[in-house]
Amino acid sequence: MNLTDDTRFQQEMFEAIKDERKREIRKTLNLIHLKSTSKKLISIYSWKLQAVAAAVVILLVSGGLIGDFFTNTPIQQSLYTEYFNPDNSILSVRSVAVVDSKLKEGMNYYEQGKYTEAISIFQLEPDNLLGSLYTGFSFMKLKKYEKAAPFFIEIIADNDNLLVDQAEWNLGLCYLINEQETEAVELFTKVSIGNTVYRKSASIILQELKRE
Amino acid sequence: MREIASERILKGIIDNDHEVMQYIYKKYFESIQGFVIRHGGTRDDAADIFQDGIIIVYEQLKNKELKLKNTFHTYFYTICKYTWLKVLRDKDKRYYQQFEVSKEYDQINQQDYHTEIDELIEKEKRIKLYDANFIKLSKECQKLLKLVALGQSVQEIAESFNYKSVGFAYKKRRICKERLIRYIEEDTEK
Repeated sequence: MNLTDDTRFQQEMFEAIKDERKREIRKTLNLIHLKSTSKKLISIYSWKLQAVAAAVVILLVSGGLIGDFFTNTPIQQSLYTEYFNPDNSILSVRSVAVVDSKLKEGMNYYEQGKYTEAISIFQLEPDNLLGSLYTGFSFMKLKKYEKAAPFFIEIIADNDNLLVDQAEWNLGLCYLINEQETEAVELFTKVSIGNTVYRKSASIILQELKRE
Repeated sequence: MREIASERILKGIIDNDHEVMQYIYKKYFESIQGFVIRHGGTRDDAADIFQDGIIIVYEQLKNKELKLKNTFHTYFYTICKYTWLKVLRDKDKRYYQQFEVSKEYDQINQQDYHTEIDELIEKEKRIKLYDANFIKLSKECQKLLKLVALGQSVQEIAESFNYKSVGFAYKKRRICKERLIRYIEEDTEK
């Protein structure tokens, strides 16, 4: 196939390149589908999560470990460990038809736990907000919370997207673990009065912080 | 869910209006998914078909004023079902031949705008191929080709990239274009 001299092909190719609106429409539809899938998965998996949590509590109580666990760990650390769980997002991204090859490649690294490699792939497409979200998650997995925060801030600043809920929640967790309590409280207060799946958890964190 | 009139839906698609897009998804995705799964597809296939359906509507709106003969509901379902049939024809010939003799197939195939949809489906396939290869280019090449597509002269491109000469901008433009064409050709040959 020789496309170099094909004028019609080149005209169509340039038409495709400049059609930003079409790319935006695809992005919007991907995000809507992602959010819908994510919500369904949360409800499907929530009973399993509850069962696992209950089993862990029983084990800790029966082993007499619960007291040590909480007294030896600072509250921020324990809340962070309890609530940092981007795995539902992973599941949802898996089930979305990810047409973007770089994002797909980055996700593969992420799922294998190769977070540094994942970040470098996601950053080849800095405008991709889903890539930014997973760059944030990757930095959190690497315990580089200060580096994760700007990626969530970028998503929140963009505002008109469906990843804002997850970005706000995880930014709050970054502040929490980084002992930026004023920022954490401010953000969790916002989440706790909002209308997202994180509302209840944000209220619990605020109560725990107050109790401290 | 509050109903949105067909005219507003069409305007919402061309404007990429978030609220309208969400409305269309909530209202139509489940049943399109049902149709696709019933006829040999998966949830991911349904998401693709739904998205392609919206893009076909967008293309029709972009090129001319779209006068709906029926409601948006009927029009959109037909596009999605027809698009899936096209996929099915390539994916599962045997199933397609069985389905071809059914009443449901006749109903979908009765519409009179299929030639146009056929062309748009084929065009979208090609555009996906361009897009998938365009993102393989360096950021510099992507930006440069975008400017070319937007009609900027080589002189203007040389200035916006701070290239040392117009000749160099010509060279870069040729290299980027050739690289993109090569990627597309390689992808097509796979």
